[in-house]
Amino acid sequence: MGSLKQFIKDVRNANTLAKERSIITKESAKIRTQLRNDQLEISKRRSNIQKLLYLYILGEKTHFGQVECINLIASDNFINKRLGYLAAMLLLKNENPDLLTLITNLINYDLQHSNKYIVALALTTMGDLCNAELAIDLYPDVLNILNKRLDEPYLIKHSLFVASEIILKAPQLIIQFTNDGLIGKIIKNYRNRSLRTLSNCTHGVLLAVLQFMKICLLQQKQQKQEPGKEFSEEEIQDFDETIKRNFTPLIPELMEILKTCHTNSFEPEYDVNGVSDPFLQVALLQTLTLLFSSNLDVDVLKNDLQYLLTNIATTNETNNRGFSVQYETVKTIFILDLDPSLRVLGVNILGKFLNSKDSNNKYVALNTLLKVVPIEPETVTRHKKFIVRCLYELDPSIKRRSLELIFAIFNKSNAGELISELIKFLSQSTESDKGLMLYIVDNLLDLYFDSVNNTHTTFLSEADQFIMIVALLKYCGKFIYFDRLSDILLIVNNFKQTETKKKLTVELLSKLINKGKDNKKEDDDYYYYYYDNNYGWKLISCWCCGEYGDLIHNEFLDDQLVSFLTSLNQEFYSQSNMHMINYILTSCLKLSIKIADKQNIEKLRQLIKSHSMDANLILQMKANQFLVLFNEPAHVKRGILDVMPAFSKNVATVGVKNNGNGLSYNEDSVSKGNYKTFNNKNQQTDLLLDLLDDIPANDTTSALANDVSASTADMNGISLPTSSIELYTSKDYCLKIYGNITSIADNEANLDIFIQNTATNNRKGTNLKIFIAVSKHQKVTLGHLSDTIIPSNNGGMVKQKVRITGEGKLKLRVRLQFLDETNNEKTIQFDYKFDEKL
Amino acid sequence: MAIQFLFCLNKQGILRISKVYNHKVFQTIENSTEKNDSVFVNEVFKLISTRDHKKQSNFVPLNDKTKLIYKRYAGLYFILGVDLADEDELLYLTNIHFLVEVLDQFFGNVCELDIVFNFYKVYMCIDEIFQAGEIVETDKDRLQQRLQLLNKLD
Repeated sequence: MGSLKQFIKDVRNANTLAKERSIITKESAKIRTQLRNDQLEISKRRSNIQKLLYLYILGEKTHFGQVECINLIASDNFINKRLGYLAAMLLLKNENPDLLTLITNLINYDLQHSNKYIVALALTTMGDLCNAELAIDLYPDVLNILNKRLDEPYLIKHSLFVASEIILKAPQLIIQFTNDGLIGKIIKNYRNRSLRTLSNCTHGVLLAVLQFMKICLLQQKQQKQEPGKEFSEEEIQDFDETIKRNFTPLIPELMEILKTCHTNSFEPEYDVNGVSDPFLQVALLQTLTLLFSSNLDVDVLKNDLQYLLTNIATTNETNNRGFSVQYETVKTIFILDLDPSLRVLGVNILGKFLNSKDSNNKYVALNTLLKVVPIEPETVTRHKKFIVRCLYELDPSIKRRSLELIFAIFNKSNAGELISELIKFLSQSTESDKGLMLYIVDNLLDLYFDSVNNTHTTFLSEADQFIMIVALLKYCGKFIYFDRLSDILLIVNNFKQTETKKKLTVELLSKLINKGKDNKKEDDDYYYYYYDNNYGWKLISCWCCGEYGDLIHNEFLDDQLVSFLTSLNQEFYSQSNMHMINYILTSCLKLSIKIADKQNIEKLRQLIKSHSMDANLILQMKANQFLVLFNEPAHVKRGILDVMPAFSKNVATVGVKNNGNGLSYNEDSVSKGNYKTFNNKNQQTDLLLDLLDDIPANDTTSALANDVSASTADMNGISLPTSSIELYTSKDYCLKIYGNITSIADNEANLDIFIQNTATNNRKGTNLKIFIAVSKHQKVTLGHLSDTIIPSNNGGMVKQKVRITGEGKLKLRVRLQFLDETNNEKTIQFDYKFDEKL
Repeated sequence: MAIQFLFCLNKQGILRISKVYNHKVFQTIENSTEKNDSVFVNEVFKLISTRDHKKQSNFVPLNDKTKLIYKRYAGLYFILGVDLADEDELLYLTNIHFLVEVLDQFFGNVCELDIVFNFYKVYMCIDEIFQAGEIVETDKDRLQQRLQLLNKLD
């Protein structure tokens, strides 16, 4: 058996994967056999474990060597011990508790060893492997070292870090470490030499003391938040007392060390990129932050701290190093909510970060600014130029954060400017930015509706709204969800000036009707990308065409409008896009009273008629109702089909609440509104009913209209019967599928299948198709499917009726196909066996 | 708030060093199987290797619990996994730099081969600098002294 070096070489030299595999398997088998041999000489055993560690790095199985690690630790030889501990740290993580018990005894033995290097090994390992049991078993040894070996800084350093781990893992032990004034003793011992001369025994000890203080303070905070969990109130008070007594006197000294550390221009051994021990500086700042926020009655010292921080902040303002220290300083300023002038200084430092070349600095600056906005909105707003510039960074998480920040600083006075910046960004975006684009759409619309709902004014003039809508549709139209398109329709509908409505209709339709030919600069690709392939643009155009057809007589001929609707109908009928057809039908009906030419009116009627036998029941019903309306006398029609009145959005918007702290992990998470897909339609039907109440309508129409509203209400209000059984749960797509047998008799069963969306992030599916297969002796008939869209709101449902005839056990194979939000087709398939029999 | 794991990967995504301080982060992967760890490493590599080396930040969220702080030195990625809520990104970056500096001093112009063949020495360095995911020593001279001493024992 060769050496470790040879083994590594062999693995590296393997030119195929298969060869590599065979080398690894062989070696691994060899090690396995050798491990069983008790007589093997110690150097060979070491080499085995070294190879085993290499196997570990390669991601191979290593469990068979675990006992051998423990054997090595038990050896008296330092080299063996060291390898054993190293192997234990790597291989024993997350392993069974029995092995950990074995190792506990060994660590326990080594912690009491006279050789400090062996003790240090045991301490390092303990710190790494520490869990609650290990902490409880071994804390007396650690305490012992802390008490008795005070003069060995190397051990004190490691023990303090282990003590911090112990307190983290087993908070109840905090009392053991504080009760007999241990912290005090350690600190006193080093205080006698003055903490500053601690640097004689390296910053390590200082770091260890700070870490220990930090963990104590953090645990103290946590215990106060959830009292009674680990401690009685008395104990907490005791503990508070100890901390206060031991920690408070140290504050001035810590500040002094920070000052020295900060002003020391050059210490080669602590220099990292030209900064003197940034680790210690940050640890000092973090500890001070905790000390000052722990109610230790140290407010008298706050002035000194402010002075010190001002010093750090201002001296660093000019140099470009030590960003981590400056960043920590800023965090301290805002966590402790210090002086306003310091806060301004802090924001300005972050502004400087934004302006730096390093994208890492931009990232942290944006993160912090997002949190700071509520405290210092105006100062943050001053940096908007740099914030906007971050939109053009390559890193999507930076882009995302700068967008969040832009919406966080959004107010009435900068609305116009920021919107034009956003539009500029949209114009340069590609499909890869889809998530961000939708985020912009959502937030702009939310902001708009929020301001309308709360203050009854908008932050934009109507001309600016017009620009915003055209831009949103042009750049994002093909991605926007239906519910957001409805919102845009609402804004258009509520324009106060007819002139704006007209302008918009002309703008939208001209791109589609003249096929962009009047804009010679725009080439075909451009045109296709922004207009022809743009669902949202088309949908709004279609709606405007019906609604405002009378306003645009001067710009378009009746022929053009009618043929526009006809071609739209053809295009979307072949795609079987029911949503759009719905809009087309309404537009046809509305346009019919706005044009004079008889021939064209007849064309519209034919278009509606072509859907009167539609396979889709909703469309069929709608088409037939419209045909009835179509034949009404002109004055009745005019009343019913009048321009929609302005109305307000009756769903509470979610708004931009999450801007302050909404650093959602998922950079692509989109759509925040919680609307039902049918909302807009509902509103329309309701309004239609209102109008009908006002005029003496004949009975058929109102009955029909009632019918429409009844059927939509039904579709919205699917509820799950209590007798339903869960058939399947798809975690990947957050769907739950239920079944409910409505009737079962000889040779025939009727059931309802419910598909429920359990996603909390507003995912939805479209173009849902359901396929069901049954066993040979049965026949399945699929009945009505309530909707092809799986509603995005949590708990939204779709219902499919199924009839099964034949005999035998009731067994189904169900396949669901749908498009997810990125328009990728997804399939779920499962089998389910009911208890019932036919 | 501490380092949860430390990986050193080369440009091909081969793991050179792996030191895990908090094993719980690995359990976030569903369907945990034996090959759990390498799935995790692959995920990390895929995420990092596709990022622009110069123009993107060195921080990237891995899942809803963990984010990665990484830096590339020649052909090697040094990657730290930390809690998603941890805000000391810049300091962790300094941690990586510090580790690399120490390795560089110890091996004398460290390269990937040094790390491959002397991985156990790299672990020795790591264990002198970090303990339980916290940095324990920042004095480079002392560290070198001690590392050389330990090195002589082999």
